[in-house]
Amino acid sequence: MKQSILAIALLLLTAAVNRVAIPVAAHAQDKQQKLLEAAKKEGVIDIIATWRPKEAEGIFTAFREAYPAIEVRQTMMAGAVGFERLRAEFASGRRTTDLINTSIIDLKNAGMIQPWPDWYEVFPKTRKDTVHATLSAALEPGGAYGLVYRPDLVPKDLQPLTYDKLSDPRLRGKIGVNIRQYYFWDSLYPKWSEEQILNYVKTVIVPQKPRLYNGSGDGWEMLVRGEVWANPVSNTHQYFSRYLPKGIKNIAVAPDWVGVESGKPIVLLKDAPHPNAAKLFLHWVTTDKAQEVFFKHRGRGNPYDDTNIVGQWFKKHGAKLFEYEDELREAQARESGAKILQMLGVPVPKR
Amino acid sequence: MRPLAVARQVYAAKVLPHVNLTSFILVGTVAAIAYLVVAPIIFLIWSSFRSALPTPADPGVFTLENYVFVYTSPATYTLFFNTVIFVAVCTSIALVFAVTFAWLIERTDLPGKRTLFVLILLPSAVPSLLMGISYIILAGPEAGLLNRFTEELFGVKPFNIFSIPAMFVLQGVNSVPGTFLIVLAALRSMDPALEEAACVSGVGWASTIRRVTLPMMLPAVLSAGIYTGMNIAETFEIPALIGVPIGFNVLSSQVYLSIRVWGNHTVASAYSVIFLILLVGMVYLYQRATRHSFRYTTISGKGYRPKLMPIGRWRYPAVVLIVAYFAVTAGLPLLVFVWSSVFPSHEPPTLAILSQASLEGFKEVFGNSTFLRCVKNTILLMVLTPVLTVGLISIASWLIVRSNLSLKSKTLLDTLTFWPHAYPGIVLGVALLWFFIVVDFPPVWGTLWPIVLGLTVSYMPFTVRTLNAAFIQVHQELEQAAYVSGASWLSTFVRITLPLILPALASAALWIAIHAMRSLTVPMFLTAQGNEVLSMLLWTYWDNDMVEAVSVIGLLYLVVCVALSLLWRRIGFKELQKA
Repeated sequence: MKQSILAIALLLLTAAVNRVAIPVAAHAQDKQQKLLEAAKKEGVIDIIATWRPKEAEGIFTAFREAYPAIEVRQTMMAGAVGFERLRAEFASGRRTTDLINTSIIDLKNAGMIQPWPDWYEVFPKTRKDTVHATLSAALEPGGAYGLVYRPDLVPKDLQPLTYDKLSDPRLRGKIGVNIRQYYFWDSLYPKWSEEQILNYVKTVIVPQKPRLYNGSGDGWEMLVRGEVWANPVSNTHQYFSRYLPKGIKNIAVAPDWVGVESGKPIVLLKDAPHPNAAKLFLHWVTTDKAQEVFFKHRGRGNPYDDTNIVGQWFKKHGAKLFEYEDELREAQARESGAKILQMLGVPVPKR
Repeated sequence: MRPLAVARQVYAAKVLPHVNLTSFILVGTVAAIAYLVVAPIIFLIWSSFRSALPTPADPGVFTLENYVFVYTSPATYTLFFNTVIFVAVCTSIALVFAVTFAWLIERTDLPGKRTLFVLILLPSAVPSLLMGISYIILAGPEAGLLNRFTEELFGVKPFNIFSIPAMFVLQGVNSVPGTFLIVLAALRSMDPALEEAACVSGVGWASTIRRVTLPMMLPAVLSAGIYTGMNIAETFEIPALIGVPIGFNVLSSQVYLSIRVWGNHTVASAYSVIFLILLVGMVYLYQRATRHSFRYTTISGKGYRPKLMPIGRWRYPAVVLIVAYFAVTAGLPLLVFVWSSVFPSHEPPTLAILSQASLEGFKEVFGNSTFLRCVKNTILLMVLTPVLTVGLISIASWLIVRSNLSLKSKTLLDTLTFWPHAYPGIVLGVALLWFFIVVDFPPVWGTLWPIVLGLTVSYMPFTVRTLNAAFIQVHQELEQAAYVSGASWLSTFVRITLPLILPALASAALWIAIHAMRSLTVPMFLTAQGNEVLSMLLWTYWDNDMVEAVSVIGLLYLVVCVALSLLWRRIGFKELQKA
């Protein structure tokens, strides 16, 4: 008797859930269909990113497999340059860009981002860890920062190179400092306070007359060319994606502490000319398939995850990982980054 | 009344017609030039007092913050000092080479002068962007091809392009061809009688140079120095490529960094205003130095053809010097791009790696739709810029040379068209960015036109000098005959005047086309989605460490630049000398 009652109750519950779920699913499907139709009409997405042509080709080809009717066009630009371009676009009112792959903080402050509030209604199964909290951006897999050096150039007795050893006089003029992403010094924060970092830079880095480079790609290339022997705050994803020339032992070594960047946002812009196609692209980026594509072509992988080469690599080196906390921290890091560049004789105006 | 007097009367009546299409064209041209030359700079100054470029969340307010930031930063004074040192040293290097080469070509019995002359001028076809990049690939401290080569042979790596002396030398030798032409023209117009008298009196050639030739050339060298200094002050590429990494910033690189790295347009405007003041000062000095240049003209009917000085055993070292100069400034960069476009790594040039040659880089570049779009835009730019510049300036130049405007008006127009020489390309780019965004007239932002208009302003000074010289050399009689026969001003201008100065027009147009193709600083801030040009793509690729693609595009660039320069030398060089 009890079993019959339980069975009937279960039956009723299932029916009730279905009565709710089926319309929700149908509603979502309907919305997806409408979005797809509108996106097809737009037919194109314009994105500002720093993806090299081969990387971009891999990403766009995979996207086209999912959505053949939509073309993605990239304007290759680093984040700060892209932001400057967007300022001009917004100021002139002549908008051409739909998406940009850069830090969200400046865009948010400038009122340039466009949230997509019903994202989860349209795509209820979206992976939420790959969506930015503002619901205006998809996140490509995170990167990791650390001390990177050329073991064939750095004197053997200094290896393994640590932050303490960067004061060695033999490294004078051989240490690289990034003047574009000057705020990446915050990758050291959980280990050191802001005061400690500033003091460290003042007493160790500045006297070494470091070589300045313009963006993490430039810094990596200088490392490849041997113009710098060590980058204290280097984006290590380059190590996994860029070719290493034969004959040069260009090996990045994980430091004791690795700053793990949360995923790099691909942001939907306010009044984008092709908003529907852009939304499709954003959603696609959040899928497992796309995350794999980004890892494959960009070298960005989850350092916590042992199944990818990035995670394996950090585990092998016994690196301790830490995460950035929030955008507020980035804003603070910029202030201290600007102070660091001032110490190096480079005046940095506010953005 | 004599026919010529009648003609003059009719001519005078036609020169500034009162109403109709002609007056519209003349007045419209002057207005357009004034608008393009003056308005952007007004907006540059205005923008330096704004808090930000307007965005949806922040329309910006009036502020002195930018100037406070700039003037209270000790680094600004370092920047200014660096800029002065950079200009002074590089100009001196350029002058030493240019005066030596001009003297060797013009006054000595150097063998193979025609070829050597081309070898001195050809490096002008190598854009400084490519020169800088090629030397980074060549003389980088560790992976530079030269260092890899010497390391294999001798176990040492002696070259390092990332040093202040190397940067100065590179910029200095890159500026030699332009300086050489100015000094050569001055040397040609000097009476050699004094030098010959010195020789006859038993003074050796070295002493003649020191005591006669150089003192006579001093005014010309001075004006050439100021002119070269202006060009070096506004140059951006080598300071950005080599100066920034070693912390040696100059004003042009600081303007770039302020916008493109730190995203602050208004501080960039404040830096630009200082930069502009510096350049205006130099233009003023240049105009003062050249205003009375006729006082130093020693050309005369007799003895114009100088007796060539025998330099004996020094002939061959002199030839080697010129060939070495060519090799360093043009030959090596070309070879570097050939090498690195086929061997996509930093491998030293050895026989062992010849088997690794690959055309992948070419395939990647030619298969890239952005590259093809840039090629199309660059070709358009190379057509539209010369047409617009030569079109506007031919009318302005006619007004300056031919019209019966008052001397004051003519001087004003002449100054107006020459004034953009004081606008560093990077400053003009910033000014036009503000201008086209805020004023939005003409409403062309986002198209190729802002770049075309920017370059038009940039090339006005050169074009007006070239066309003024051409107009002066063509007598008015043919035009007067046309007026007497009832032709309108427009018809006479199009059918008589312009065909008469066609070589000068072609020369100016070709020169502009070459420079438009090479220009980086003006397009840098005016690029929007779809209007990208090749120079900008080259910079972007370099900025994103795509050495193979840079090498492929650099190689194509050099080949086209050299071919066009040779063509220009054939058809237009004489016009430049006249100017």
